[in-house]
Amino acid sequence: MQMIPDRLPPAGERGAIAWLRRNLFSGTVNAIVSIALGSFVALSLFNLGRWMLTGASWQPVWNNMKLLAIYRYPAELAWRPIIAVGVLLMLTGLTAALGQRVGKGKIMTGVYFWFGSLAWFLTLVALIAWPSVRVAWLLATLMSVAGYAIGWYVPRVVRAQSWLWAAGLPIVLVLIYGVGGSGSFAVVGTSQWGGFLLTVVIAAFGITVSFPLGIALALGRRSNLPAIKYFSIGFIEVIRGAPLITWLFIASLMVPLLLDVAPDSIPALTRALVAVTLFSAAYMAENVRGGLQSVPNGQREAARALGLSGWQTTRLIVLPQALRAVIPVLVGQAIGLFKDTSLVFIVGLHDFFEIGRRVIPSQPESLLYPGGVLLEISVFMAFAYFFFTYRMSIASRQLEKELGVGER
Amino acid sequence: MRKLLAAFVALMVLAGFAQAQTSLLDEIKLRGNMTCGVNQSLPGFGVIDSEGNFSGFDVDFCKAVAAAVLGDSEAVTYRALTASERFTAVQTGEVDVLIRNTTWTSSRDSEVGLNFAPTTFYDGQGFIVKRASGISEVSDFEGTSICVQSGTTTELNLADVMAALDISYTPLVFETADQVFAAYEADQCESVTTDMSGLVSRSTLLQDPAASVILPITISKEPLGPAVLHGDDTWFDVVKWVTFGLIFAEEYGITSDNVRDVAASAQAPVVRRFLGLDGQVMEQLGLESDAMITMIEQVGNYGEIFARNLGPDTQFGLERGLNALYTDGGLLYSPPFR
Repeated sequence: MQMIPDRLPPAGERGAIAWLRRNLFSGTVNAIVSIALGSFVALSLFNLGRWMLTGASWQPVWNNMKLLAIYRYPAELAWRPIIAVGVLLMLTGLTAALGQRVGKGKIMTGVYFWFGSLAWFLTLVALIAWPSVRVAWLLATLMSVAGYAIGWYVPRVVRAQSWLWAAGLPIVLVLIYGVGGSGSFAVVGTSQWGGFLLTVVIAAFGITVSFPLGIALALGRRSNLPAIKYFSIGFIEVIRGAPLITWLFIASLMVPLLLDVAPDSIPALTRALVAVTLFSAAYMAENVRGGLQSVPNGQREAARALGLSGWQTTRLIVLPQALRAVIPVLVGQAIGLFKDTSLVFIVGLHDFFEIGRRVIPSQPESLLYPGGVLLEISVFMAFAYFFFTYRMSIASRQLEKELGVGER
Repeated sequence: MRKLLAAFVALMVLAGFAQAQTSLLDEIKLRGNMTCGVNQSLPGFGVIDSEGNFSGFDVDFCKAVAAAVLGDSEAVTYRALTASERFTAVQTGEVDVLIRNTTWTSSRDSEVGLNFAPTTFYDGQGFIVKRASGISEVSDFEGTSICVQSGTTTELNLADVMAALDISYTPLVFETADQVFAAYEADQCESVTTDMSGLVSRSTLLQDPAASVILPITISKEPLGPAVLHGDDTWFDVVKWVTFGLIFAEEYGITSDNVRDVAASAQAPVVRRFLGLDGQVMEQLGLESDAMITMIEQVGNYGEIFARNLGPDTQFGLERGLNALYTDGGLLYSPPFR
């Protein structure tokens, strides 16, 4: 008996043609739909591309890059947020490389290369066209490369990794806010912050703080202690009962009134952060509670039977399973929060969206373009938002895969 | 509980009373900075440039007040306000003065609790027309079509005025301002009507701005001016007389270029009092004696502010119209500084 060697499928059953035939042209109706939709998409893309290349006036977008990025942050101190980006990329690179050495850290690596390439791109642009931040961007990219190199070639730093992160975040804050005096480290008040810087600050703060807060509220809502339980329920329901825009209004105008302090004693950014974080925490809590309910009671009982304390049971048995089940929702929430930051114009902050939507189109220079420049800026902002949120959803998918959600 | 509440209310009233004793004027001088509520997206009136600086007609009045009170037109913290939050911002003390194309009405004066300084811009419903149509006054609208936004007071005003003058016209009503101007561009109507300040910014967005002209007539009253919180007369007086001061300076031909020369050589008692060379006019208001000199030097007079932001040399090319001095047929008039 002789084994027949494996053979490829017949030519008509493989390759691009076969794929097309199977997926797009498997019948008359499908073929018609494919052609109709395909030509519609092609035409739209062609028109969009033609407009972007020939019809659109990108000059105002280009001229207002500084405004879009950091708003009124002093131009001569613009290097500070850029170096802060460098510090973050350096840490990310370090963690990514350390993880890769042991065959893990796919998410970090992805994030590192995603934003690292953006930094490279911006450095290139800076080298050509932005002389004032040329050095800063070059330095930031070099820092990102250095971080990855250190992680790869000096694996011993793995022990210092968490310390480095713990030191890095305050450094980032100090870089952005400043220390004092009037020199290179002069304080830049939060009223000067804006643009993408502000969007990222609010989103990052909101997401990181509302996550533990949400978990605490979710656990509190399931607690047997009435005080905690009813506080959590009350908090969640009240916060969820009104739209974010209302809470921003309340935080902006009512809080100084309620606390009877001068309105300028609480910076607008603080008020926005409080409102955004509490709002997000309430939703986060309900998402986490959904996860908690998906963990069968047997798990808890088994853990208690093994002698784990109540706290240990929650921390080691219930929460990990609960959170794993709701990763897509939590990431959805984070993405939503990132985009919801565009509502902070209510408290007088100028985030990325506000500057693009209202400030730039109203500039007298922008009005010189027939039809205005709102369309151009909207396209640009859509790309910018997409760049960030898409990376978040990739990370979420990778996380799900790593944790085996939906497979077990 | 009721007693407690009563005590609390009494306390709040007392606290409010105590606060009323000190004027915002002293507070601002102490702070060395003034907070001004402005618009950030009304071309010509309040915008932010690519460097992040505020500019515009309204913004210049903020600068004038700051220059008069603090001696520095840059000592202003701008707070961009939306239309809906602007009054709350004044009520809570978030801004010291509101200069954000706000129409002076009786209910805002009484119920909202504002005090309005003199009108800085007499806005009103105006018309932009195609040059080719030859329309130059309201009676020329006979038999033409006018594009207007639906559900606004603009639409009602138009109908009222035209009915009163017995002019027959065809209103073309659209949902949004964008649609209104798109129809105008497509020659569906000879003119568009909306507030003058809105026409100004819209007109430059047209495909061919030179083919249209904004008529120097208005058919409704929209007096825009600075507003402060009711109940602080000292501060109100300052904002009021600073505004008058800008008009006064134009009346007497005092500009940012010649104010120092005028101050050095002025003979007329009215001018000398105004510039603080004689008498105590400025001190009585709680300002330095040379407050007006500083202000005019740094910001200019009313005419300069208008020309810089809205006038014929700008892209908006707005005529003074009602906003001319009373001597030129406008409504601007400053009471004497005495």
